[in-house]
Amino acid sequence: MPPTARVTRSASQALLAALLALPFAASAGPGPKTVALVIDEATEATVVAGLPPVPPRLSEEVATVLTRALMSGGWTVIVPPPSPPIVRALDARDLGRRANAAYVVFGRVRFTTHPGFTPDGSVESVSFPVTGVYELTVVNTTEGTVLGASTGTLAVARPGESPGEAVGRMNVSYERTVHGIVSRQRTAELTAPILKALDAPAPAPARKGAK
Amino acid sequence: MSPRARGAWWLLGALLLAAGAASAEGPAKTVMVILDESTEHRPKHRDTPGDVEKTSLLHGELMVALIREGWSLVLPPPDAMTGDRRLARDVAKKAGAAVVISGRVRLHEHAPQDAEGKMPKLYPVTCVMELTAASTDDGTVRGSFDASFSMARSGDTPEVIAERGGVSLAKTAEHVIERARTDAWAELAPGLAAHLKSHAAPPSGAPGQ
Repeated sequence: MPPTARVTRSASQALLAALLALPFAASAGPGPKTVALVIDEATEATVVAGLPPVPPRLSEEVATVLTRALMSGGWTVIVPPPSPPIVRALDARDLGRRANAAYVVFGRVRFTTHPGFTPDGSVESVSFPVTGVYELTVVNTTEGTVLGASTGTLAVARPGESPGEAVGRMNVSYERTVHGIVSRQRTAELTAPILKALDAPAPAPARKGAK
Repeated sequence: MSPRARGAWWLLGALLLAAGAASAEGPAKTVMVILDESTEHRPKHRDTPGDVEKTSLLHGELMVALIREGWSLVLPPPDAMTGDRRLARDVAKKAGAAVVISGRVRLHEHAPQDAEGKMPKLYPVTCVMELTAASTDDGTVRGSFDASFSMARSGDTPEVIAERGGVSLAKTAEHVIERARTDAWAELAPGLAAHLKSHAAPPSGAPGQ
């Protein structure tokens, strides 16, 4: 075989090998700073005739605030495909793997809307009070371990403040009240534990036989 | 070139074509906008006929901005109106859009203010919105926006507020939506550019080329 043909042949073989390896390289594991967000939501209402309807999906606000905080921290946020509500860390791990995310933040947020009131206590729709509870968990999908969890309550009134004093921050709509709580008042409280859990170094694996 | 070498080149070419076809999940510069949007009246004037079309102003403004930047719009199915980003990604992916912008927009029209009969009368409108832009293939979030707006901005004089909000609820809504669109676009545009950068260049002749 002439030398030129040998060179051409080896070059084409190298190119072929590189080409065949490409799809595998592209589908290699998730990036180290990828996180999938799965926030299950529910809104409950104390129904009073004549009051405005309770808006759906108030908790999407929480997902957006977490997304912004994570992206500011250099994380790539993944929107996973639809799935039934995630309640177990194991399910979160599996969903994270399917979504090609190194971590999953999953949890639930429950907002409850209350009838409006005036400072004198009469029921009247001049304010739009909302309270909420949340629980969020961080899972490492590679190791299958829970890195941290955060729970808490959300309300407009600040500690020591009467509802009458807080009424100015809930006099537009239920959405606006939630926006005020989640995006302004309690953002750090919601996001800090999650960022801390994600950024903490992974614990050393337990030694076999260790107590 | 020997027949074997020529054969290897042919094989290489065929593989390249196959790889290109497999990776083509639609042009990268296609987008679907799915918003859960509505206008609500506040209780004091609940008997006022509603104008549910007002929030579609933002939908329209966003689409105009996207078209101006060379994006091809994929229209959502008629019943697709969801604030759920996961469902929105699914719907957009099935329709062949590379990017989905989803979220919620709520306009609130308040009772016209006419404090102690003093003129001018004001027609206040406020807006709460949250938007997320994501690539549909891998779900990567490209941008997220979350804000509330009213007709008044800090530093506005009473005259400016009166001019902006003293005509009608519809006129005030236009001002609020215009401001919302400007801020939202400023937040989402860099992420959309990053999406394009991370994907292969669209074929020649595609919009924006």
